[in-house]
Amino acid sequence: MDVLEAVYRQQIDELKDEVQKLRKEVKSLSIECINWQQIASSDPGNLTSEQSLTDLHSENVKLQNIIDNMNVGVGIADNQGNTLSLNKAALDLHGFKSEEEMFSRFSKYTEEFELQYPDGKIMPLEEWPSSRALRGEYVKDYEVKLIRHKTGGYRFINYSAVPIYDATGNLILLLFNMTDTTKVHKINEALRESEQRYWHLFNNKTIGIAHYEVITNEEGTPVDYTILRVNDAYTEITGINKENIEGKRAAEIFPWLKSISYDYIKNYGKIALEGGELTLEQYVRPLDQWFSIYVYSPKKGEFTTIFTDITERKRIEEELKANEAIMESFFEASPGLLTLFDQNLRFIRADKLIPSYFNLNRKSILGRSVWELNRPLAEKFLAPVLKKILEKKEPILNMSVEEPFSTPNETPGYWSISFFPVTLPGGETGLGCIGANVTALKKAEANLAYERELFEGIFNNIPVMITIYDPNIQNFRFNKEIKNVLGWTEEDAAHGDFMEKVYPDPEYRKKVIEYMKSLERGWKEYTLKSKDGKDIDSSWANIMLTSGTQIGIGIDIRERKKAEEELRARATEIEAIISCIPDGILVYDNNGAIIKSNAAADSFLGYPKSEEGERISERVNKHYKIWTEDERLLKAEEMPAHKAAVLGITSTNQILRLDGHEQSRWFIFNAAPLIIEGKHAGAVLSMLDISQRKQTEQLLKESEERFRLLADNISQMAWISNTEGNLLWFNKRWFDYTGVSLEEMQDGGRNKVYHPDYIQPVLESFQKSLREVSPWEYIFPMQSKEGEYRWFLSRALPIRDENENITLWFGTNTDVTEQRKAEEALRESEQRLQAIFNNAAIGIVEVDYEDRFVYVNERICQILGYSREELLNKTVHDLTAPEDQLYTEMMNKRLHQGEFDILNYEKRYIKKDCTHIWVHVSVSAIRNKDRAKTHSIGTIEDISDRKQIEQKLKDSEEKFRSLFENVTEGIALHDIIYKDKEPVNYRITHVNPAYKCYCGIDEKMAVGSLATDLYNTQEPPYFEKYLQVAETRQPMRFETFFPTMNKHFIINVVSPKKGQFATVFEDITEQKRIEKEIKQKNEELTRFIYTVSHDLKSPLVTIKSFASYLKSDIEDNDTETVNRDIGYIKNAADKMGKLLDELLELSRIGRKEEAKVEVPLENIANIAIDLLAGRIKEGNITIEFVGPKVMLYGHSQRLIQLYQNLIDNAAKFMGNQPNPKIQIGTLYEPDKNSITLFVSDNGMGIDPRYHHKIFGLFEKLDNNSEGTGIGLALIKRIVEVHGGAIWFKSEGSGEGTTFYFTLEKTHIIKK
Amino acid sequence: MERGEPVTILFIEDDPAHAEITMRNFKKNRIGNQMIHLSDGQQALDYLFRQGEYANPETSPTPHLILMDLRLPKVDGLEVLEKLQSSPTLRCIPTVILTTSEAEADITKAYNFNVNSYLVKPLDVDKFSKMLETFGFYWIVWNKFNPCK
Repeated sequence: MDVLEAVYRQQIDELKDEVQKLRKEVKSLSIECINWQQIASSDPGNLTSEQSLTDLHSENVKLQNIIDNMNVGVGIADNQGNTLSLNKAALDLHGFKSEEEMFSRFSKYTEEFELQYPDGKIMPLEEWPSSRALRGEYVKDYEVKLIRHKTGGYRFINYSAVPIYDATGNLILLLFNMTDTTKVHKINEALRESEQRYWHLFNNKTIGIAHYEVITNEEGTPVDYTILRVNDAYTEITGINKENIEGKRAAEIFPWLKSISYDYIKNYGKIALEGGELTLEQYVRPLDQWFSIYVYSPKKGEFTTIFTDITERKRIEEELKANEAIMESFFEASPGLLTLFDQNLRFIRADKLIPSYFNLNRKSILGRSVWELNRPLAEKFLAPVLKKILEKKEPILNMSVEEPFSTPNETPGYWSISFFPVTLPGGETGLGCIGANVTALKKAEANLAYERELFEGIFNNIPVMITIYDPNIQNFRFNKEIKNVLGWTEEDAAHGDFMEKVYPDPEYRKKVIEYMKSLERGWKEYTLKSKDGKDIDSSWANIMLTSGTQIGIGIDIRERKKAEEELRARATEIEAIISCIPDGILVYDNNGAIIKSNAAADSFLGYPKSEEGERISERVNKHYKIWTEDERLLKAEEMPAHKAAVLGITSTNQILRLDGHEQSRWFIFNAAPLIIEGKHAGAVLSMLDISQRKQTEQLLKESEERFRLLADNISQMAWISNTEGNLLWFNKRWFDYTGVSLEEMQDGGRNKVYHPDYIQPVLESFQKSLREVSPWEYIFPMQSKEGEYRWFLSRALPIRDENENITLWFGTNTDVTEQRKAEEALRESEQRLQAIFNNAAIGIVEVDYEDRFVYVNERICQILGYSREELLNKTVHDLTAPEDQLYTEMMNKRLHQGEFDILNYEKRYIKKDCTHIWVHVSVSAIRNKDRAKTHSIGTIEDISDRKQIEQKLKDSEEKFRSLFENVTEGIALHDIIYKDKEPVNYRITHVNPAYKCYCGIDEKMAVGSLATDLYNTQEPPYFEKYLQVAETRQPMRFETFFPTMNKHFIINVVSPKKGQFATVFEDITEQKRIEKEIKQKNEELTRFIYTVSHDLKSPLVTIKSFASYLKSDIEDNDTETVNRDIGYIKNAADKMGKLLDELLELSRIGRKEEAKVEVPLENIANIAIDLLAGRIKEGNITIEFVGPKVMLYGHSQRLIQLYQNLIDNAAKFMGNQPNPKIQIGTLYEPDKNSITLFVSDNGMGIDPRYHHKIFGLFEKLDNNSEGTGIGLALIKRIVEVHGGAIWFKSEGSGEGTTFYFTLEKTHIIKK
Repeated sequence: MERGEPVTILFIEDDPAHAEITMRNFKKNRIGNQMIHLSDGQQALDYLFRQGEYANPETSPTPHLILMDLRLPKVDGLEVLEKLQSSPTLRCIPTVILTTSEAEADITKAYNFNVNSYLVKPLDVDKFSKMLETFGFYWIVWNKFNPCK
């Protein structure tokens, strides 16, 4: 018996182990089922150990983890407004550090924070999303701004709240869903500001901006462009109304585009299609304007031109040039020594003569160079560039250089500089450069830190049979386990009636199908036929998904069945076993009376101890109330023990609650009839206390329910995939959006949902994360069921089991379309701004409310000579020239007060080198909500050049004007007058004061007159010559004589501008006169020399000859001839003596003399008369004085000589006059205030034939008369020395002669 | 001109002393000829153009040769020469200048008026005599005058 018992015991032990093992297996299967969302709530029967409870706990924690780690905030509240739970994201959004800080009632939240509407208005509590949800409203996408009282920090939160009702329509739960939209808000705010900045630039009055779209032909060559949009400044500058051109084609608006030499379409089109940029200065003839144009492409196929009108500058330059041309002509025409210096004696302008003293030419002496200012920069950098530019004559674009201007303290940046040739005023080619900071563009916003989601995976490779089929129980899909256990494949299922194959018995099959259609919860055991014909016992549960798809989960229970059968077979031996089992075991007889109970059962059932023989019904009625899970009171007859013992019905895993005296506990009951020897002998009941598990299970169920609700209601899509990346589950949101079911998804649904371009990249990226086990993140577009693509940020995290093995990946997809759009718009806006900022030829700054620079572009740094860093530490006030500070402040105040949108004015800034620079400023305010903190954005244009040119022009004009006004040359400016394009006349536009002296025409009369009118001529004077100058602009110079004025002129003609000319008159009359006089003097001198050789030699010849004759006379003793010869000799000698005396006298006149004095004419004349008294008396000549008495001024000796000679002459040539008379007189003409003196006679007169010879030296008309021929020459000389002139009048022989003459400073003697 | 016919010389000289010297020289060298002496340019022109008192060709025959000073009162010798150029007959009369002027301008101008010879009065009396002697031989002995006067 002992041996037998030992064997028996051993068998029982083995069985025990077996059962334990089975239980474990079943338990793990159950857990899988729980996770499969359909949780083993209906089948806890196998979860009969403590371990299963722990597992349930950990499940719950895992779910909590998932919820906590979702990156959307979720929360649950009860119907009283008590927060039940918030996940981590939600806590964070509300600024709670932990759940402990979380107040339970919504109303208490007001102590922590306030909510505002997005526009900043305070949101009353009753409008809070929680309050609205409590009132039963379904709140969707309700955006609020949450501001923490303590920190003042704020968040934008998008709330959704879903009230959950029970079956009876009572509100039981509130489900919250919160998304942080702060970032979107911030981006939108940045976008708004950026747009506002852009708006300023776009709407300013000085920079024209126009957007175009290129039109290409079939080959892709640009053929035209459409004007998309232009700003106000465009109209302002070009005068073209935007309404007239927007949306139209350039060829239509500007038909001349094709006819001009610069190929706009090709060059601009190239930029639009290939990128790049272009800066140029261009003259647009049809508009008659000059533009500085910057062209770039914001987007392929489009381009933007940014331009400023530089016509005024060009015009000033032109004008300056014209002025300079006139100036130049002065300097050119200058006979020398005309030079201009500035205060430092620098050459501003010089003619040829002075610079040559310095061995310099006119140009080399002007200006300064970079070589002077910064030799290394010129040598190492600019000179080579300049060389290249000059050689190639084309720009060097985007040359990358290390910061060429940095000081040692600065971090050198990299710059892209474009150099291009510039035509400077004066026509020489200069060097221009433009630079852009190529600091790497900010990458997309820094990655957000994402909260991590954890989710336990359950689906992969589980040892459970899973089949999916449609509601018609067709289209089966199997997992691997089905193939393993049953051997059937999907292929088998697809052909023929699969159910028939599996359940050949029609009755049985009908039952099974009914069950499958009933969707009854719980596990059923069925026997299936495997492919190889075996009967497979299995337990099945089926689940219907929302899509109608059903899932069947099956467990192979063949082993369990076998064990159970064995166990039943050994029922009689159970007695021995039961005492060892922790489960409560009770054995009943077939009357339902307790035969046996073990300790566990006794403890479970509690006091009073069950007594043997006590009937179940009696006991139950006496001690307990028994409830089913669905709260139904169980009758004693329905008790598993009773059923098994009395009725022979097996009860399996029945969960019941026993409410006893002291406690209420849950148990799992298993009761089986005890068949002994084939006869029903009673029953065995096992009971397991599952109170604790039940409690946990309840929690878990709730948790699960919540999760499911959350998962389906969150704004994100949530999904689960296995470690191979196969999608196993997704939430309602996913389905709602895509309209694609899980099966479809698993069956290549990606192709439907993902954007075609992204399918491959997304898969590759996810696979990579799967391999590397790193969190996955990807943004890609997904198609909605409506066919719209929206952008989603997809994230996934691995979920690990307790052994740290990855079982699943949990993922979420967040719609980031709006954010992306905003970001995109922001980026575009920023790019546009950047383009303008970096490339504009004008400085752009942003100034904060404290007047401080917060943004400066490169150009303004160049203008002011500061580095970016230095400028950012300055205020506008720091840099404004003292003279302009008051005005600047006043204007800025008015701008900030909103008096005007844009402020334009000119002012002076202080550069780093302390010099002042003139700028044109255009400022506008960027208005945000906080008026006191308004920023402003300004464009600053360096107009120093213009100012300088203006100043130069002014100087030049001043110089010109002073020259114009003060030069002794007469100057007149003229415009050529065209009629039918033929030059016909010219008009006088300006004359200087000297002009009047030259032409005798008053300025008022001259200016505006036509030449033909003014000069009263048929043809405008010198028209051909003037026209030639005005058209060729080649200066001309010619000499001419104006008979009406008896004057000689040189006329210099220059053209300051085509169609205009200036004449500069030089009066050369005096020069001519002097020339003539010199010629006369020369002739006189020549004559003198010849005469000397003749007149002085001839007496000598005479003397010598007669002296020699005298010798022979004496030899011949011819006394008569001797006397005659001596007479000749004497005469000749006398003549010679006289000649020499007079010549000597003549030469003395005008040389060193005694001082000039005033002496009355009468005195002088009387002395002369006295000296000639002999001759006068001899000739019986009367002398009389006529005319007013005058005072003479001069050398009295000479004046006496003058009168003596004149009177002597008159006496000499009296001829046969019977009443010789000489008049000494004066003629006074009061209107001319001139006094003419004269000496007249009534003698023989002068034959008109000889008049011209009268004053010649040695000229005498009568050889027989006395005199040497020097007399009248002498007279003339004396008169000239006394600043006068002499002439005579004689009607001819016998008519007498009058010599008239003037003497300087002669005046009437007043009585 | 008939052989043996005396050569008529129109001699224009304002300086009486010089005229005397010249005439004496010719006489001394026995140059048989008819000398008509005038003392100023006006007289010379009147004579040659048969004006006033010189209208009668008998008493005022056209000369074979003109011997003339340049510095003459009233009308200068050069002027006289110029005027003679205007007459086709008078311009053919050989003309010799005898003057004290050695001025290049005078010489050039004189030749421009087609004078045949230009003689400068030497200050040396012997040389003056010698020159006048040579002049006489050359013009009166050796020279053939234009027959169609």
